[in-house]
Amino acid sequence: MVENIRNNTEFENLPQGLVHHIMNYVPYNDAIKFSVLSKTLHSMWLSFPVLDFDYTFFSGQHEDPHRTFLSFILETLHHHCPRINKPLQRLRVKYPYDYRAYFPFHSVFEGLLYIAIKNHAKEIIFDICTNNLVDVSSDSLLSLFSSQFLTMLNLKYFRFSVADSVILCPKLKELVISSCKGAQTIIVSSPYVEKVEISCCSDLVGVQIMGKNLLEFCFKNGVSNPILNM
Amino acid sequence: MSSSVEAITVLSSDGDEFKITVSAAKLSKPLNWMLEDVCFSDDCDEVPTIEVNSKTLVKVIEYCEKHAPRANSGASDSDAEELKKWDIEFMKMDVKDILFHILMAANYLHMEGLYDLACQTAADLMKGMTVSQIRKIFHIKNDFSSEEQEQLRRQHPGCSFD
Repeated sequence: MVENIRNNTEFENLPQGLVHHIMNYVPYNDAIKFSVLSKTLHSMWLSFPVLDFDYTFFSGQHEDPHRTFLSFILETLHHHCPRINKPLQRLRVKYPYDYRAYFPFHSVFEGLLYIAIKNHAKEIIFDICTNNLVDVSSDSLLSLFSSQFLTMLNLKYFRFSVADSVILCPKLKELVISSCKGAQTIIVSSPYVEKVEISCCSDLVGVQIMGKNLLEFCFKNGVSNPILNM
Repeated sequence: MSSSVEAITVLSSDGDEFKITVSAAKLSKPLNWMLEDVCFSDDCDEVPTIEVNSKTLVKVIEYCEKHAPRANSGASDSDAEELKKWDIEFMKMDVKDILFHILMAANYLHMEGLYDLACQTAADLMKGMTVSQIRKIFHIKNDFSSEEQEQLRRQHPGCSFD
């Protein structure tokens, strides 16, 4: 390190953590360019702890954007997963179109959630829209809702396999659960939670929030009229 | 700590002497430790060395002195606005000559504010640029063969590299 400071510093000699911090400030679609700049930067790119899959960059650009997007996700996981630095800072999926049934997106998204949990993700954002709900196993839900790392969780169009969810995550600040099925009660007992938004979860009968730092609570439900307890 | 001490002298890696005020040195944990060492030590003649070259250290101290009043006492919104403008002017510097060294120094001296500012500056330089423009800005040598390049680009069909 001392040598690096004294000598003529090159971009590639910067510590990996520092280069990752720079990548964080660059929009993801620009940050991808790190992967082709040079061999050293390529390897730093592979360990960059952010996974971001945004379909909007694909639509209109390709003949079969859904297929291209799917293979992009699989290819990225194949190259990044063995190298990624834990904890994963962020997993974001943006796919705001109902996918066609013959593409197995729901199982890919299920797998992505699993990978995020295993890599101690801090932010998990699923910005999707589909009739083909993503299943979450009870094991995944248990790990997710007790994660020591999670600060932001945004789930849309998931099917919970457990009726009663107790969210314990000690560092959670922001929670969005929208258009999910299977959950009948949601209890949020994360002490630092500041923002909670629950909407269009038709099976829901009760919500309880026990955080003392809550600043914003938004609740919209289409069908039933659940009991709120704060 | 003796209250009479208002500034300490430090050496750069080139051996030049610099003065830094006590309040400015508080922006960096390692500098602050050094300062406590100097103030508590019986042998006050010893001048600590900071492993940062003179050109970079001048800038680092300039940043510390500018930010110290705000960091130590808090500031109004108009001050924050003024400081933001100052930061932008401050970061207008040659990439290879200074920016890389500032990045390393901020990392080594644990200066969160300067670290974030310098990383943001580097990131802003590459926003919207093509791969060859980025290589030019940051003096990065392409060590891939054209076949390897093609293969890597194919892995990111959603990204326009040029």
